[in-house]
Amino acid sequence: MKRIMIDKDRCNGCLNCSLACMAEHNPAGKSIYVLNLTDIRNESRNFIALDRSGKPTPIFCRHCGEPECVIACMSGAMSRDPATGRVTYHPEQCAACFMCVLSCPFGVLKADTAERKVIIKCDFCGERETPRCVENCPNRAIYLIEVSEE
Amino acid sequence: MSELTTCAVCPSADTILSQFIAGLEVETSHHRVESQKVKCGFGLQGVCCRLCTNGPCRITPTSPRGVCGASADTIVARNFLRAVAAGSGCYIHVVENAARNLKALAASHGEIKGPATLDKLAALFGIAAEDPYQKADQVADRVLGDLHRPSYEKMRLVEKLAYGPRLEQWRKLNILPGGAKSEVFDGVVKTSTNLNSDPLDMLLHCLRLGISTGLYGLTLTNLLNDILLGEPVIRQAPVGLRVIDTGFVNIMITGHQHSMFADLQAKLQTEAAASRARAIGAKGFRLIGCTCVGQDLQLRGEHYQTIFAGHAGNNFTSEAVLATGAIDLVVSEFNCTLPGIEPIAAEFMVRMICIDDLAKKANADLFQYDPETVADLSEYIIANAIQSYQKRRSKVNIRLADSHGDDGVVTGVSESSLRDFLGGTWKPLVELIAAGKIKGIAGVVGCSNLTAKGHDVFTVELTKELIQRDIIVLSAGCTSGGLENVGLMSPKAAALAGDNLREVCEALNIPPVLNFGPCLAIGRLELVAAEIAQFLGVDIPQLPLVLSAPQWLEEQALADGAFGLALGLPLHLAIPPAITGSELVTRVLTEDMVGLTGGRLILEDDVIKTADLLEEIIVAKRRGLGLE
Amino acid sequence: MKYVIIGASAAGINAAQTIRKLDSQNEILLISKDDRVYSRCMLHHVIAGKRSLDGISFVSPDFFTQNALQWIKGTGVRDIRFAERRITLEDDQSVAYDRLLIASGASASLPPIKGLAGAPNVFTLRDISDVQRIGAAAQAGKTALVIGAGLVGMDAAAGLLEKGLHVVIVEQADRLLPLQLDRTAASNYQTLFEQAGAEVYTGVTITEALPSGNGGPVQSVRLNDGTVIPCDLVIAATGVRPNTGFIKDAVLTMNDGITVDEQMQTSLPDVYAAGDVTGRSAIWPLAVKQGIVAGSNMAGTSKKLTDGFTAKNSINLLGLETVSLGLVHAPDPSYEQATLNHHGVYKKIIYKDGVVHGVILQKEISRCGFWTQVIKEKLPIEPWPADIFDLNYAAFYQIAPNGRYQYARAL
Repeated sequence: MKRIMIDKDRCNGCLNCSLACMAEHNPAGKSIYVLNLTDIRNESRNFIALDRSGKPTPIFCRHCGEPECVIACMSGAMSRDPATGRVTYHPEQCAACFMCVLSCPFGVLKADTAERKVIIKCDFCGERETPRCVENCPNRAIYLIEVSEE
Repeated sequence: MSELTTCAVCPSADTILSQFIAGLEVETSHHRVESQKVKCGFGLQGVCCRLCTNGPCRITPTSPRGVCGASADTIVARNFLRAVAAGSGCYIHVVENAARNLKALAASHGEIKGPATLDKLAALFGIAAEDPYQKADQVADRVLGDLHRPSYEKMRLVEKLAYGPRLEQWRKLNILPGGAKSEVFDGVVKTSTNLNSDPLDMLLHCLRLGISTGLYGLTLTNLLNDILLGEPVIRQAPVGLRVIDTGFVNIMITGHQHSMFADLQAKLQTEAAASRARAIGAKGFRLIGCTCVGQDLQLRGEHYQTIFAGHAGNNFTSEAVLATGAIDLVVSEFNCTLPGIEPIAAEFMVRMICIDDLAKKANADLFQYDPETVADLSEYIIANAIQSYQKRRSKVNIRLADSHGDDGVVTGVSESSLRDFLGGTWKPLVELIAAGKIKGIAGVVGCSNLTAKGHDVFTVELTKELIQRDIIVLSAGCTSGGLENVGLMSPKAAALAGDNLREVCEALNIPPVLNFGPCLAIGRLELVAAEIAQFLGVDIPQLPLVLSAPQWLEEQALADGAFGLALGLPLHLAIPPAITGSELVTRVLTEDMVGLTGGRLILEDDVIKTADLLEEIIVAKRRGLGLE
Repeated sequence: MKYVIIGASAAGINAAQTIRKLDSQNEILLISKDDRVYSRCMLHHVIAGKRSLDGISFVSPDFFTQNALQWIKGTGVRDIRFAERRITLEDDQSVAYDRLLIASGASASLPPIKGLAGAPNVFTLRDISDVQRIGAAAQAGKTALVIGAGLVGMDAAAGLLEKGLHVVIVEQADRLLPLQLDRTAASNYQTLFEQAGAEVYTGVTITEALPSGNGGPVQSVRLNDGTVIPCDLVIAATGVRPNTGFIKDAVLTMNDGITVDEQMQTSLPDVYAAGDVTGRSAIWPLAVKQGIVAGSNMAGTSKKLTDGFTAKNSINLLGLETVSLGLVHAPDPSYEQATLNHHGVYKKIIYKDGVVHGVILQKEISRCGFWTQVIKEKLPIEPWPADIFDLNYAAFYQIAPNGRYQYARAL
């Protein structure tokens, strides 16, 4: 399976990955120019947090081998595809119990800000060859690696 | 150190150029597009603010305001006005130097090469003097006087230069500009930290800057240059890398201030200069045109046939020109002189001389241009060219591209030469438009960039689409450099036009794409527009005329664009300026502007959709005039 | 080799899936009282009318065929004879096994209140039949009395409120959700429920249901302070006990439920137990993990349960979400507490010597998952940050060569 590898030292917090994520999942279209940057209904699935020395730290879904979010999900909304290794979220199935949010060991998951009804979760950009965040990192702080299933 | 190593060059409409660049040992802009392809989305949308130490602040759904409280609208408008002000400043600098040169010419009683234009301007300005030098001196004074006014004093020539109905509209909107330099100053002050936060006030300021840029920087610069350098004369000429002849001492010029080369051109035309070149084994001197100053020289090439080799190409061709190895000296005086030519100049042992410290290049020797010492400057350039030729020719590899470019480009088109060509009146053109032989006019103008599909790709594709639809294209700026090098400005290009337009072109033996030369000549297009509007007795926004700056590059283009909007014209851009982060600013420029000036910005990155849209507008305007 | 699994909920289903991943050959048979797979935690959504029965399945419709599982549904187990490795079902079928997993779950029990047992309008909320019976009794406008304000009781109360009933909640502790919440967080829910029209009685007990003892419906209950509350139906949500009634063979060691080791093996070889029947798991994720561990060991791949952490709850009632981890109150003054209470957002962190022992987050729970790890692993936070509520995984960030996140010990 593929995973987004992170080289934290190369991240300068430009947030281009977050913007790329928002643009890719924008219902109005994928161009950066049509992205409404003040629309809270379109959130980035990845985020950059600052560590305790103030260094930007990219926090991206790991699509874990034994995903705590899938284990915690009692509605069947979270599932892992053994073939691709991707952990996928199906909002129509979700009961908004947020056990996955509480269970993700790395605090990646959150509920959507606007309605607090669905989970904001990386989908590895679906059909895309390379996730758009990876394509848009100017510093190669995030890049794809091939890993064996854990 | 960039990690990405690639031999790929960005696509170009000019395939011969592209192949030439791909085969070079040196790196050019065309190579660097790839390693710079990841862009900052906040920058693209204009919502990055670096005005204070609380920043940089960026607008996101979870942080909709900067630390100071600035909204996306404020941040975008501030950044935009700042860019327009800088762009305006560039053009104002150019017209100021042209006026200074005219004043110096008057003082030295030098040769007035465009007496007709001088008389026209003197009459327009209400100057009573009979003596041409007095006229020239007073014309220069009027221009300089306006440029140097404070912002609380309106410039006086606006009333004389602007088309009547437009002037009224501007007055109504309260956007008549004060002193041009002061307006730039105010634009910079307004946009500094925690001053102006009103997007609408800032956008109106952009329109004011647009008017001063257009009437002075664009229009007047051309006319002053006509006096100093001679009016454009329609003729056919070669363009592209093919114009370079290794037998000569080759001086490449880049920038926008043609009048600074008046003395050098005169000196190079002398027998004395030619014999100095022969003494070192060369056939003589040649100026190789590059960027807009080359376009302008080509426009007036009629007067400099012995020393002007031809126009080699636009801004993103300059690295290739230098990489031929056949250039001995670069003389630069303003922008579009890419920093990328510096390492190439070093590689090929080409000395660089800069003659205006505003555009000082890192590796160039500065000899500050001054009308008083212009003779010394010309001697300095000639001496250095000779020295450089002697030093380098035995040591560098020369690699020409003789198949690049075109031989039959129709150049020398201006508002006057075109009117004269039509028999001294716009009537024939208007009749062709009325009859539908020419559906309308599109100004495809401005810069060249490498990001709208590649070097000149959008420009060329859009132009081809438009002429196919019987829309005649007028071009000024780096767009001309691209269009002429691919043959669209030669009479044979008529074959690519729609049936009606082709018929017109073949009958008149003109190309379907008319070459007005440098970006400054966008001012000439606007003179054409005003004169046709006057002929028809309508206002400019009613004309079946559209503008596109498909591959605009820089801040100057934004100032040009602001003029286009003030004139009430639809202006298309393939790549949006950094405004889309503000719904308000985007809406005002793309929609609400119609209600203010009649103009609007059209943002479209698809060639066919753009052509459809522009054609639709033209047809609608024809309908408005009762022509459909 | 034949695997048999009793139970088709969180533990049983995940065990079956795990076995099938590791063993594509041998037969796997599930036996369940339930005739469908569904999520118990979502039953109240069915009561509320927000979900259909199909809508609360937590597996895909083709789960059994996809994983090649046999399934005897709708019948319970009567008896297991461990020495013979044979199970007798309630419908007299006999089933042999080589390896057995008991994941039979738990059942709701009625509190020992006089008058409840046998009354036709008294319900528990544990399975689909409960939902169907409640659905028949619960018409809008009626009064439902909920005994016990734990997770199940509060879910039921919310579901009934959404269905349009008048709801009365009675809880003997001093607040709602006493095991999961402190007073502040609980009172925020109480306000919300009262605004939605519920009545809440805390710190009281029910002495009897009236009329009592005739087998007829309950019409009211009397509290220990003498208050009488009329009601049309009663939901008792005061606790569950493991389903071990069918294990009559005393060879299996029992505690609160079936005793298991780290590998979910019982005191008998080849017999495993997982989920609520062990009496150790009160939350869904733990039942799932136990099922995975049991299944893995049954299929011959050794695996240990490394996570027995149960003090982890997420609550989302009437649109207010809360998570709670570890302690809800500081046990003694040697513990310190950080709280934030602002615009309906409530946060509390209980800590001692740089180690966090409890977290409650209400209305703002974004990206809080790392706290589970911090509390479970007792990761010291040094130095203690100026704003503990700003802490996030970045403080512990470490990445393995395969891109997995880890926890750096030193901050």
